[in-house]
Amino acid sequence: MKKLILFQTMFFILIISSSAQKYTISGYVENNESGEKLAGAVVYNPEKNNMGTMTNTYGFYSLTSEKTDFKLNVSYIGYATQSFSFSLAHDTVINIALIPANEIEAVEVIGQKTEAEKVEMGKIDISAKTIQSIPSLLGEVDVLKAIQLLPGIQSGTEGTSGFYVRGGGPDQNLILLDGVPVYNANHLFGFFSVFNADAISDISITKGGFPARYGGRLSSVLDIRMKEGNMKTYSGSASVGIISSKIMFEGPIIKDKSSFLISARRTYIDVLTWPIQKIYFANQDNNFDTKSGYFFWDINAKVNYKFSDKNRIYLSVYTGKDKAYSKMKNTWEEYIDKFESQLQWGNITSAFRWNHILGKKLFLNTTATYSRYNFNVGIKEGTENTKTKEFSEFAFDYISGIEDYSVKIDFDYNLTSAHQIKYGANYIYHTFKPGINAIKSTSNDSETAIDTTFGNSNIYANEYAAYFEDEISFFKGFKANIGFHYSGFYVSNTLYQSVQPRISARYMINPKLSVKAAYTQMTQYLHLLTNTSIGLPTDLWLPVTNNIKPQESDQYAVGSAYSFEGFDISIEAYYKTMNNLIEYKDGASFISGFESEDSTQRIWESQIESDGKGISYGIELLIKKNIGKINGWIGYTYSKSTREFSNVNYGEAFPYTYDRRHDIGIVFNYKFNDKIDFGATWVFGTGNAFTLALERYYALTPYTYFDDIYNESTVNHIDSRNNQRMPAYHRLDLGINIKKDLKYGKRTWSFGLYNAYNRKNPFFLRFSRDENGDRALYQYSLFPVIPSVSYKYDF
Amino acid sequence: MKHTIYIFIIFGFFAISSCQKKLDIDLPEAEKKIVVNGLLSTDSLIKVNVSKSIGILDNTKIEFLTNANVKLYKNDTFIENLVSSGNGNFVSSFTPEINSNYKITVDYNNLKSVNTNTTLKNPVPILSIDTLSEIQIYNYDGYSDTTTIYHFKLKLSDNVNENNFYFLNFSGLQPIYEFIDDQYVITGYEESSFYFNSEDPVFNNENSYFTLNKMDGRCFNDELFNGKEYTIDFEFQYNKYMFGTFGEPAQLSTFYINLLTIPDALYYYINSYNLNQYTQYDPFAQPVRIYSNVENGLGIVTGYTLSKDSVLINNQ
Repeated sequence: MKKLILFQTMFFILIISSSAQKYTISGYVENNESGEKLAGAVVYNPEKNNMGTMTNTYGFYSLTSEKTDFKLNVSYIGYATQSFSFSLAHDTVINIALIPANEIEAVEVIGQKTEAEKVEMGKIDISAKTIQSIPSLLGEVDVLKAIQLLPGIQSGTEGTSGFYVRGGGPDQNLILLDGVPVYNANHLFGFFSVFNADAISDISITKGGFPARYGGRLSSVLDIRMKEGNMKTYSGSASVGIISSKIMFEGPIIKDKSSFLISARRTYIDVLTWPIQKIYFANQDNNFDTKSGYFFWDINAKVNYKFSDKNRIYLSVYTGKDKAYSKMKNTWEEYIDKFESQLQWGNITSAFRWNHILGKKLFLNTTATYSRYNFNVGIKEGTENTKTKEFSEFAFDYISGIEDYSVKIDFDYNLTSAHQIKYGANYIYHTFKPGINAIKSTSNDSETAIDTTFGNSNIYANEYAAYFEDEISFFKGFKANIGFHYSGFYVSNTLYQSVQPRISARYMINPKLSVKAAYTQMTQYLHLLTNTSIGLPTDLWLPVTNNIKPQESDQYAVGSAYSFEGFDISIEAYYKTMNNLIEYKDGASFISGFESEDSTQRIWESQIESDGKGISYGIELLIKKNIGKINGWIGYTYSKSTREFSNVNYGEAFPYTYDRRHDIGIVFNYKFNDKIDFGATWVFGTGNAFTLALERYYALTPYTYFDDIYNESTVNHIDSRNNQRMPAYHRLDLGINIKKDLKYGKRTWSFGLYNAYNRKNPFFLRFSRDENGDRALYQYSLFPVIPSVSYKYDF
Repeated sequence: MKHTIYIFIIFGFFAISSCQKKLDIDLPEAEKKIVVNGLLSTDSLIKVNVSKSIGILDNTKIEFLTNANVKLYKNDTFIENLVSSGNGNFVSSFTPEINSNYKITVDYNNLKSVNTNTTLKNPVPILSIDTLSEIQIYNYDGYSDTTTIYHFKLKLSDNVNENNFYFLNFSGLQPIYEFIDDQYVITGYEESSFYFNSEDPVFNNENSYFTLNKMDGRCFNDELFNGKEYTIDFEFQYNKYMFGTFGEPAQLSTFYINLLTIPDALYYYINSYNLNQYTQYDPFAQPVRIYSNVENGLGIVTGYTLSKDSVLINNQ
């Protein structure tokens, strides 16, 4: 209590002391060409010890200073720094448009706030441009695979987009698209993510030292922001790749007032294989007509409207779908048999946002969002007699998913350049759909018709949160972000609540070198029921219940950052404990997890252990070069992560599946000139932990009689869960972009080589018999060396 | 669930398109262990089987340790060395007594010595058995068939202040056939297990099926009735042709209900063994380690005590 009083006293003293004879400069920083707002631009006075601030997520800044002649510098990575000199004698609004650096010559280009200066720990920002320069599988640029190259973030199974942060599970990542949670970020079973890089502006991922404004997940927040749409001119791009084509178009609706952006992509493996299927079945000696395939598509759209300098609204929508299908028709005598099956899943997310400047120092962001994920599998079969017109049809569908409505309000209060406050609240109404079965049977005999649904009933839950965050400089060089996050979750007459303290602090030893420390506590009320390592659409999001408690974590981190001449070097050590983790019981399978004779029971609860403890610790090193002809990064992680459940592995701790002692990610980009750039990535990771029996022995079996002859029944002995390691994973990817200016735009040919030295990385291992009939261990790999080519036209 | 079929199809696609490679890596050499298995009961001499585990990729036959040194202790007092009777079996000259703790130690050459122990508890008595029969007659295509459903209510009194574990076996006399003069002839009857159905919540576990000394049945625990009297419901469906393998209707006159009181180790063993067997070919299942009560080794040495009751029936 004494600490609280002291804290409040300091807070008010600072407010009072900062209110004397001071004026405020505020406004937006935007891209000169497109009018898009720039988040994270640095606004500072170089003549006042670089006193300054950064633009918030929406490009707004507010800087308060004494009455003086004022020099204002504004800088942002990839843009020329702008300088203004004026006499600050009253509150001033300055909206600043920065010019992209590649369009001008002989200007000084400096980066954003350096890593050394940032208070946040464990946060990495990447631009969409950087992601697009990274070589990718089948030429399909992928946000999630790009972040897997960063230290502390590990990939899961080969080629998939799932990521694991500091020993946490895939369910512990909060993935936000324009502030809206995305529950299943996978296309094609995780081999691609749902995020179309053409529509993305920037990405940030936070692994630790979470500011109080974030909550709801234990391990990371991946914040993906869509482009807003060009306010000045119409532009766009179209590209054709091996598996998909994309198109993006943006422009003003009313110049400098309103803009739009729309992008779409679709895969076409199915369309390309239709003629082959047709020819194949035409040559078969039967009357089968079959068509099957798989595709995914997604659309991103965004519009925004500026009512005034103080009011702006945005509406953004994402929708996407994956579908695998098969249609079969068999004609015999006077009968036609039909069979159709489909497996489809998809997300819809939408956000309506209102930015309002309440005063020269106070910024308000109000957001209403909707998010839905649906999974559906169905079959339909029927027979028709073409003569008698008799028919019978049977259809079965399984539907599961999750749906959220939420409202959120956030305030940014810039008291002084040395003191900023953020506070806000949000509410989410969740609907969990753990699985509905629908059966429909019809025929010309109406008495036998069936139309019924059964299964797990929907679960409704209310989640709410409030936060307060105070970033303050206590003395020269020492800055801290202190806050708390309060959250509650009400489900099935049970209320869970938690207050989570958050603190990050930074001390500048000199202008280039800082040391940092952070402590964060997180609570998570959702669980993802999965026991496969790839992003299957059957993964089920479920809430806490009376029996299954919220997941909790405490994370401690210390680190240091050194920034010089375009380089950022940071090293961080962390120690994280997690409680109430869930895990499938011994012997449980995601297949059996959905089978129940009495499906009104919440069978998923009986399939899992929920008293898990996790410990994770490690050291991460990141050397990053942001600018210049050569840029990229080298990331290295040394880590260890374990799990412990009272009823799993006989209560003994075991390595987490993605416990990876060494993890290296190297990204190298070289820009030869404006027409050619080259990219290479190399990844290395200790093999995933997996369970393998190492011995066989005679066991007491139902066939053991202990009479004259011992019945020789053998079983495999597993000494503990995750007792073995797969071979190490490593891979080199190469890519080159060749650009050319055309009369009405620019074309880019992109050539890539995934897994350039054809490393056979493990997908899974299993025992089998070799050519001599002896038992042997076999490794199965997915991707050999895969070349790719794509063509893109920008206009 | 139907959709799993599609998942398999898709995985099948990946499996086909994936690349298979025989790994040349040497698996870590697991330390070979002494394996001891035994099932003690008060009506037979103590007997255990001793063998040695082998590496998972070892294609040789598992070795019985016929020269092992197997010692028997009763309540921590040395009783005797067990004598090898071949095929890894070692036999004592004693039958076990109820409520005595039997410890068995095994030494063999350079392998790590192992020990295990078990205690046979007092058999929990069957307080009563109530029977109700129900006859169902099926007519189809001019034929009729009669099935009798016997409903049983078995009442037991669970011991207070301890966790108890049970195994229920249901059996009857079945004909013994011999092939004499070109035909099968019934030469007698022997007690043999029957499959029983039960919706009783104590059997809410599909991993409870096992066979102990030729007794098929299901294990259960007293979680639902600890320290109380409890009545278990089960039923048996009898059709006169069901055992008439050679055209001779079965002659049933007596049912036997065998209630075995078992140590916790056997209960855990049965559950883990079944789960291991059910899931060993499911690539998506979490792996299961089979329970063992052999310190430094593998296997299970356990036992049971028996409460037996019978029910006379009339199948005329």
